Amino acid sequence: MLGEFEYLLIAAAVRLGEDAYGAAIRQEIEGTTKHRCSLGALYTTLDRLEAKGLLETWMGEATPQRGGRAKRMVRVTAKGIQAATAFYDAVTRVSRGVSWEAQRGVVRP
Amino acid sequence: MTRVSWWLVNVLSQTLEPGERDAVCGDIAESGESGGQALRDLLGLVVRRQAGLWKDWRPWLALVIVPFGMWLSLRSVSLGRSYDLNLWIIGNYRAIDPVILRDTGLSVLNGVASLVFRSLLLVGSAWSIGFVLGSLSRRTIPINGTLFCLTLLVGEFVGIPKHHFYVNGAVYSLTLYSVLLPLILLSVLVLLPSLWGMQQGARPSTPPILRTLSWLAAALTFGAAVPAIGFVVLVAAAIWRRGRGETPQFN
Repeated sequence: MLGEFEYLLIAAAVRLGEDAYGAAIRQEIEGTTKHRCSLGALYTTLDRLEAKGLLETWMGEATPQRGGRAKRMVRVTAKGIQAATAFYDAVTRVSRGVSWEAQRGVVRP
Repeated sequence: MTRVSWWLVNVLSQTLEPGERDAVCGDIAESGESGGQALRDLLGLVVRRQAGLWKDWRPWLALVIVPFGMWLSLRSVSLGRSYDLNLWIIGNYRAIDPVILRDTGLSVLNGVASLVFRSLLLVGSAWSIGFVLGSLSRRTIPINGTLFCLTLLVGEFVGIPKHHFYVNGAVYSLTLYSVLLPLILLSVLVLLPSLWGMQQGARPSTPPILRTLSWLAAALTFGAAVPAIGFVVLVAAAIWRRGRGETPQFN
């Protein structure tokens, strides 16, 4: 089963579609979670997911905005979609019947 | 980001694979984050990458070779003493009584020939050890190479004449003989050849014949160094025991 960050990365890559590459995925994750995403976490997770066959990466084109440096483009594979779906289903199933709003009043921090 | 920050980012990113370096530096440029933040981010990635490389056995084996730098340093210091003597003989040749030279068996020709031979041997040993270190380390060479250079310095510090050689105390009270010459010899005969060897060893394109010959030379070097290091350890242990009032034992 996927880890939480692995799921976030796959979901961000799927949302970005053809424009999924390192910096864009990082921005997407930071924008949606409101948490910092470090370069180390991003690139080591990309490698791990690629090794598992859940996504593919290749070097894309260079842009002046990046100082003429190439992008590491990302595409989620069918196996990756399957793994993300399984993770999402598990989270949905385990959350069924749980009301976080109601728990706020019961559990004190 | 300032130019200094970019320079640091470029230096730090040299430890990454070329493709990844390009992508990461591009991401940093695109994100527009501050120099400090970019450096922290990059450092995090470099540490993770380096840690990942240490899952392999080769960098650990290279780590075993690192202390041989101490042996090279001590060899360089020992050679430095011969340099001192021969330089002095060359410098004062006219003033020395030829009878003394004849009786002691000292001659400029023999002295220079011996120095050249021993220097070449030391350069070869340093290059071989550097080559093996580079071959085994490759991408962990920033860590193993730095540790190796540190052991060279430690060996130099331990072995320099002002600490252990009191026979020619007057000569070694001069900075030239006690500090400068040993450092110059260490740099020229050990540091530069070993760095060159590391670079050659880490290069995958080194021809197989050169690689085989280098490993052979390295095996001979280690064959010579291991008994010498063993002897140094035994002597050090004996001195330590003697300092504690115990009887030295060599068996």
